[in-house]
Amino acid sequence: MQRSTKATETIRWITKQLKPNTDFVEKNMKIERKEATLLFIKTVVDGDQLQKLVIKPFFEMDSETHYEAYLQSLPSQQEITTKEKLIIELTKGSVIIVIRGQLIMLDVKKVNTNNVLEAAIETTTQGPQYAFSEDIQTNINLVRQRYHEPTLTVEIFEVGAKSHQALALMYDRETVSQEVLNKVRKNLKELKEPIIQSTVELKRVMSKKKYTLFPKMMVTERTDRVVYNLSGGKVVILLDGDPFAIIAPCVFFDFLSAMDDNYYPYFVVKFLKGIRYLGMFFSLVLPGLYVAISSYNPEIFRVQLALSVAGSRVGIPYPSFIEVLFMLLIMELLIEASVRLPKVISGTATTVGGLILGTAATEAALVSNIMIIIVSAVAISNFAIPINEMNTAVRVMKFVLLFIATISGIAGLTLGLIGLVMYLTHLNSFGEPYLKVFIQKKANENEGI
Amino acid sequence: MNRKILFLVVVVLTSMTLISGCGFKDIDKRGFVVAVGVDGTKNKKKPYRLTLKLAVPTGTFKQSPKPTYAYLSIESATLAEGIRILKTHTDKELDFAHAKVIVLGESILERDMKETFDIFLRRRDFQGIAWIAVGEPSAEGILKTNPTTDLPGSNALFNIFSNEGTESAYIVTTYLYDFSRRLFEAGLDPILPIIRTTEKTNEYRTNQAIVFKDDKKQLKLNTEDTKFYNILSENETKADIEVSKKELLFAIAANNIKVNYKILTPANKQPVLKMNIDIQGIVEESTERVTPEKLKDYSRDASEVAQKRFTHFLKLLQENEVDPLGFGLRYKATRLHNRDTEAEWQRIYPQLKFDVNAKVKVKSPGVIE
Repeated sequence: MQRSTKATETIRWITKQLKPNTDFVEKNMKIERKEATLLFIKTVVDGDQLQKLVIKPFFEMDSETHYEAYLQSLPSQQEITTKEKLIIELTKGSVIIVIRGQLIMLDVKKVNTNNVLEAAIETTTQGPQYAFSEDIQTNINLVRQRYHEPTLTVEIFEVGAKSHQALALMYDRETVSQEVLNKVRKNLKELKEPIIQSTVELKRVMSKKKYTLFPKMMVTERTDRVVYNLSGGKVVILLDGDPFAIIAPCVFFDFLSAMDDNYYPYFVVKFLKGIRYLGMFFSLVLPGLYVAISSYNPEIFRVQLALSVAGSRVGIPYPSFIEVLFMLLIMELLIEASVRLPKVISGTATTVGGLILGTAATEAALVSNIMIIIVSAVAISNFAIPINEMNTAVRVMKFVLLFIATISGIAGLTLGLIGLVMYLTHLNSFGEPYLKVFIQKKANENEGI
Repeated sequence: MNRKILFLVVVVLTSMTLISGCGFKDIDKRGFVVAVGVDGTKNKKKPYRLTLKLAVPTGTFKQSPKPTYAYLSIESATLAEGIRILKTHTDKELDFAHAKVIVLGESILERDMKETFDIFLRRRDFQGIAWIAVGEPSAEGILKTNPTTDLPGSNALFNIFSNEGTESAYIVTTYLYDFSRRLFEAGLDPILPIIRTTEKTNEYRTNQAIVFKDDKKQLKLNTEDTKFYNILSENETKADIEVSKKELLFAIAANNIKVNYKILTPANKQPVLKMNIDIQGIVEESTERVTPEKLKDYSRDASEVAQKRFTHFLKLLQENEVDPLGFGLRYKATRLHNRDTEAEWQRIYPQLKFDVNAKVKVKSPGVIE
């Protein structure tokens, strides 16, 4: 009877902890000689499942022993370790059954976020169209469905001192780099944040350093990218409640690859990649280049261009860098506004901002025509970068280069670019050099060498 | 970020302002000089007359279908002083970054070219790739001529000398770097194109050239000789050759010209310059019907004519003791150098015999019958 007193004690403790909640339910079931108690939180459990798995069999079974044996055999049964753990599991959607003085915990959580979403950020023309859902079970399922390799390992962690979210660490045992894996594990265990709401936030707190600009882990919503990287020996982290996955380690060039690169013919891919790198380069240097050339070194232009740039600047009151800064800020505001706005209105914002403001600014001789071309070229080419975080990093970086170009012309711009390359070389992602070029055969790359 | 790094970043950024060279000056505050003209004056105290042609930036093509230029002229003791004073004649900062044409007036040719030209070699904002030309009757007149075909944003003089616009075997192009090399190198004499314009016509004629030995010796090449110079210097591989023989008159459009030569100085014999000229072309115009069978005769006739003319041209250079093709340089380069090499060549050149072997190959009658 020792067991039973301990169980009663635990239940009393739980009840005391959860009593203020109106949705906490403690229910006694009793028929003939059978008796059991259910403890659960109504709002997080799936009522249908509870009825089907727990309540109905209770009345159908012959004896308590049968019923207990039945419960023990259910796959959703959870291990009971501590009292605290019990409460956390209850809040997540488990049910505790007290039978014959023994506690049995079953997972009957109701998940409303397991819809698989269509890829919205990293869209592709031809390729898998669905991304992750916001439920971790579904997400692990999605990855497993695409990667049928027995060496695929899933480790479940818990993060958030308050939110107690599930976090899945996935990797292919055979190809993963042990060093990276240990670093990631250690990193995850050291997390102290009370609440981690999103994968991007997780990524930020994982990187530890406060002042960072370039992403060292990739956040993606594409299942095919996750699987591709798993096979290449990388580590994937999934967080419950977020439709994104983290891939680590990642080098600079990973952020400029789209999944389409694996699907299209050779020359098409080379062309698309070329355009993407060109786009990144343009959006980085174009504003700075405009200031440097038009205010310091106009001899770089051809005569015709020099004269037409000079002509288009006729009547503009401010020096070139203010002109560029003004237009760039307007453009950044426009981008920021269209992210925040509801989808229905964002179309209007773009029209007003892009078309009307652009035209009016030139008409009012606040900025030159050529400036408008440059700003739109910068905006468009920036979006050619497939991964959003690199995209934003470049967006910020171009202001740095603009500043350097403003104070020291084309020589400064060149130095600034060299400095940027040096900075990138100095970075590393979980021990992998950030500017490492993986020039090796595809087969080797897939083996994670 | 710790203080040390912050401090370093600030130091680097402030030191960057020092490397900027010429300071921040907006493009619309600069006056782009597209051509520089230098004339001589009779005034002893102010011997130079400097003319600058400034392109006035205009908006779009629709707003101004014709280019507008501003001109600044001044007489001064030195060109440097002239430029300094001209800066006070305009509100814009004079920018020579696009001054790609330097025109020398006829009146300045009599003076020592090395002296006149010094500033263009010294001042850093004159580019080595600027074209040099001689203006007739004056540099100022050339600069102030604006051909009707000139479009805004382009410049007729640039089009003439670069291969972007017209291409012709009659136009000699001389870059500043090449001109300075020729000025100071013995055995290779400077040659400049002559741009002519008249009061009445609003156009340029650039089909003559002038060769200098020094300030005393000059040779003006006529249109035909200018073409021969271009062919022999292999500047132009496309040219035309007119052949008249008795009744027959025909023209060959040569599109592949190869020239090589050797200077032979056998002991106790007259020095010889052996030159092979290979020309391939097609019949472009003829007074009679050309059949493919006749092409051999045409080739033979054309070869004879070409041989005669090229020999004549070389002799013309020899008689005037000028050497724009660089025979002297070749001689110096192919002989073991000693301190008399230069003098040797001075002795050899006047008695050099030209053995020209011109081979014209007419490849096609030009039409399919």
